[in-house]
Amino acid sequence: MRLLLIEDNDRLAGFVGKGLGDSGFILDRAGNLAEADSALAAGQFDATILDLGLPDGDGLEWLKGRRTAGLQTPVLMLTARGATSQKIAGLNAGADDYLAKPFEMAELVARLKALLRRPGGALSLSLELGNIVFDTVHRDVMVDQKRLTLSRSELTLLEVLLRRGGRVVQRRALEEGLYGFDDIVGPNSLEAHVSRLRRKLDAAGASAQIHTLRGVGYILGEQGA
Amino acid sequence: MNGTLQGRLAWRLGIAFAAVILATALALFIHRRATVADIPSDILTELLDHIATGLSRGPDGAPRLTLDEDDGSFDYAVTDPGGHVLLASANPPPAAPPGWQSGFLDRQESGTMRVLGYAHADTALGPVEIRIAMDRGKTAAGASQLLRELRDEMLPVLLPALLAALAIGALTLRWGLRPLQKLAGEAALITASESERRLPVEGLPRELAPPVHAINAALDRLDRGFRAQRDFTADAAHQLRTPLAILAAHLDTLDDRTVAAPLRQDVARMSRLVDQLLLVAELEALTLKPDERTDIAALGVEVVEAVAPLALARRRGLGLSGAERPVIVHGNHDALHHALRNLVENAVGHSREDTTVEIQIGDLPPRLSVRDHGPGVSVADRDRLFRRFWRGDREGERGGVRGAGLGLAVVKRIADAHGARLAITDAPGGGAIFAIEFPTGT
Repeated sequence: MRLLLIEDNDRLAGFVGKGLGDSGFILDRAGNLAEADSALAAGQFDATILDLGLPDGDGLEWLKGRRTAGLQTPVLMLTARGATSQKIAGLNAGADDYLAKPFEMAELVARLKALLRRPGGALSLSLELGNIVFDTVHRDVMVDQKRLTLSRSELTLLEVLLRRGGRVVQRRALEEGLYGFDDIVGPNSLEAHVSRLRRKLDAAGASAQIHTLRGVGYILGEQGA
Repeated sequence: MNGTLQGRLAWRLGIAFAAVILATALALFIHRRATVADIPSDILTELLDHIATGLSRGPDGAPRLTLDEDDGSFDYAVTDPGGHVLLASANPPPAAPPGWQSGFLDRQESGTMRVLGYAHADTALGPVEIRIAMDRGKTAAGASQLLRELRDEMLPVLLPALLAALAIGALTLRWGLRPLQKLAGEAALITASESERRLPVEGLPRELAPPVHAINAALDRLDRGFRAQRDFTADAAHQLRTPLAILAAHLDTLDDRTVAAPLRQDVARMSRLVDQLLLVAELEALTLKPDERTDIAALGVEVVEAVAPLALARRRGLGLSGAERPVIVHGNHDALHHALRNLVENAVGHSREDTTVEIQIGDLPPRLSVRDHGPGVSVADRDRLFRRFWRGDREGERGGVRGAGLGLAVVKRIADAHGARLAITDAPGGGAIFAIEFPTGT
């Protein structure tokens, strides 16, 4: 996985590079927007980490321009500004995710992996969470290296949950994912499908469980001890 | 209203109006009274003319006086040039003093003042001298009549005049003071979020310009200080978070986890404290724009999504109810997000394992409530909870999810800025309910 880190602070860039290197990423660094432009022109990157406050301009404006010019690479934004409206502005400018400084290295790695798992992302062929591995090409699920047999609708549910791994999926998104399956009708059938999938995952010894957030949706995550 | 400029001016003008009108009435009264007591000469002249034309000879040749009206208020005598009395009333006036032909004079007669009038005329009886006398005492009856006149004729004119003058005065005052009211309206629009706004000087009466200029200058000085504080907040965010990010990233990449892990926790606590301090600084300047609207139902979903990973990691569930339909309030999205998130994180921190924190969105009036399954909050602690940096024992006991006790002070400040109430109650079956209750009609 090759990443481009656009960050003007040398020490922060150094530590982030080391942390991501330990997690198996290869990192190129640009210290300003001009360097970022030449790096993007010279090579292919699977994802970009963008700091917003850069010496030669505002990262947000730069990203808007690059997106308009056709930049496809997933972008994770880093910023010292934490307000929700800033986050929305960032996502509107074309960022795919957002992390406020200071951040945990583990969270940065998890977010990057989630970005790469998205459709078109470098990791999108296989989705992983804990000991669950979902092969999106053959639509096979392995739990703890043993094959788990799931119905078509359960596979779709699990895929949607895994793509948002560790984060909440709203009911609506799940229902849309299942739209078109004849066996999904009334308001309670989503619950029925989810609870069947939950039981199968539990029985197979999955390290992540489906948790219900009543009134909101579901989350597939590893629960703390 | 006592103490207002308008009130004070109205009082003084009213008193002045009333005094002027009373004085006018009094002057009229005195004048009329004097006129009556002092019998005007034209009345006497008229009376003399009257008598002259009323003289005639009867069928028997005797002199006769015919008057249209004789109310007996005067005495008279008619003499021929030889001084013989032709006609006379009961108490005839004396002959004119020597040398007097015609005219009027006052005369003291046995305690009363009489006015005497003399004239010579050619009448049906030939040339005669006519004498008349009027008793001044007789006109005393006129005084009570004057009072009656005052009541019946002057009051109906003067009273409406007084009222009209007062009304016009009041309207003029209100009219004249309108620029002050407009200034008050403009001043109300100057808030922390619009601190560059100033009072308008155009169209003001010249007397008001100096104080308004002075106030604007004072606002300029305050704004400079305020701006410096705002800039500091924005700068501080960057200046504080970047070194923390470096420190955190450094610790995260250290190989010796036994040393790094506790330090990393310190950094996390420090970060949260920095976040909250910056937030407090931002909130000090938080004011709502009139058209700011937030859907608190959508807010509930957002906050559940944001807190869910943390809650699950700590083996606490989250439930949301009442969010099926939008609930719109007059409010700032970011601030309310922060407040609700704070309450939910707090509730997760204080709840027992394997319980569910319930978030409820209320409508009519709009309400955000968070129920935890913790030890509850003692009545004594409820007020202290909102003070900055205060930490309840229950936080210490549970190892503390959050570093500083700023959280609830922040929530309180946000609620205040929204005109909302932050209420803490006991939940049925244990635990506490923290609720942000918005005013109705927002």
